[in-house]
Amino acid sequence: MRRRLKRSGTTAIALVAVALALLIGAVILASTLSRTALEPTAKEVIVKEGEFTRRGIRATISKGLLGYSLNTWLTIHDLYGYGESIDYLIGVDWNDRVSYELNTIINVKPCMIKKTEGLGFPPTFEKLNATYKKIIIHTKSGGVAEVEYRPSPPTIDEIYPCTIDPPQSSVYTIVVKVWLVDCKGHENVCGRCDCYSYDYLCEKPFCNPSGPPHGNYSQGVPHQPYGILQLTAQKEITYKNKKYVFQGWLIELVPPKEGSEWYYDTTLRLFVDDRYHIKLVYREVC
Amino acid sequence: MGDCRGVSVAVTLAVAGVVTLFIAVLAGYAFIQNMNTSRQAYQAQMETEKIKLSERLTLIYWAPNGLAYIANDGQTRVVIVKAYVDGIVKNLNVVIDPGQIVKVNVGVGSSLAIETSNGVLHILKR
Repeated sequence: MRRRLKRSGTTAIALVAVALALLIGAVILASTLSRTALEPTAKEVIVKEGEFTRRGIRATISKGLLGYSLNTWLTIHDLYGYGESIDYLIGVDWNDRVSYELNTIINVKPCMIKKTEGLGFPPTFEKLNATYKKIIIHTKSGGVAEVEYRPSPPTIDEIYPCTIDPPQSSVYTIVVKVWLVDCKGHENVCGRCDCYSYDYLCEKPFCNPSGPPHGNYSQGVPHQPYGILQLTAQKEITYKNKKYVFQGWLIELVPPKEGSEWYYDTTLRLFVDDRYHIKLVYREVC
Repeated sequence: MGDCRGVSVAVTLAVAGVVTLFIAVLAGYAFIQNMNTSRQAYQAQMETEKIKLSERLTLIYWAPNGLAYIANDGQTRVVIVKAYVDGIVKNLNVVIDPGQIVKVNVGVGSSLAIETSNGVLHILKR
């Protein structure tokens, strides 16, 4: 009996030892597995893509705003409405070199319009386009957009309710003169009208008796002091028994910046963002 | 008299119980320690993952002369260690602080990926 008991005690110890060994083994295995489970992910390389497709803004460069102008304006829209901050601009020339860089802060919410001259770019659309193939804008949030060139000015719906920078700070005088060019090529000024941007009417008959052009001033941009001066020229006039036909408007900034420019429609909607000299040119019918 | 040598069942069970308890405590302690290590490792990995996820690199312009204008739009400092241009690797060591824009000569190509020291591969242009 005792011998059987002794044998069973030894067996019990052996069983306990085996059970413990299994337990310890299980613990070690579990710990090893949990460690090795961590290691491969720690060595993984995370792939992030599509960063280059982030676009939170849309930007356009236009000749004038709402109306014709010799100045060039940059319009930036925040597409998502959270507000964007532009911190970097580059200009890429036609040789694909970055020939212009600007570190700046332009807050855009929901949109901002800036005169390109104020950013260090050439003032006129043609010169800007001839100098820079691309203008690229980067925002603080990581948006990148290439500026789109558009020769026509944006409409009121496209820029409302943008902030225009700089706001009109002074009275801009627009001097309009009627020039008659006779068959011999001689030029003759036969009328003049000075319009001021605080006048909302600029309707004076000059070059009597025919009296072109008729003009009127209007507030073109809601909540902004900038106005539109709309001038309408007659296609034909008679002056001192000679017949003249409309040739175009010759427009230049005062003081002259990039030379003068022709505008050929009889109705000129001028966005008054500077001081201008305008010649309404008629040529004699020979 | 019979043979009195040997261990009685009661003593055997008592010793076995004590030893089992001792080893179980040891094993439990080891297990807890191990779990702590695992948790710490997991937390450390999560931190690393967080850093990785917060990395934001943006390609502003890649000039035909091979100069890439890259912005760090994230919140952490990034070290560019490799550039892959059309699959060709170029080793680099360029540090970009948050908000900074650097010009990196990565070479000419059509696709660009950037690897950082945190092990993130930013595909900037496909």
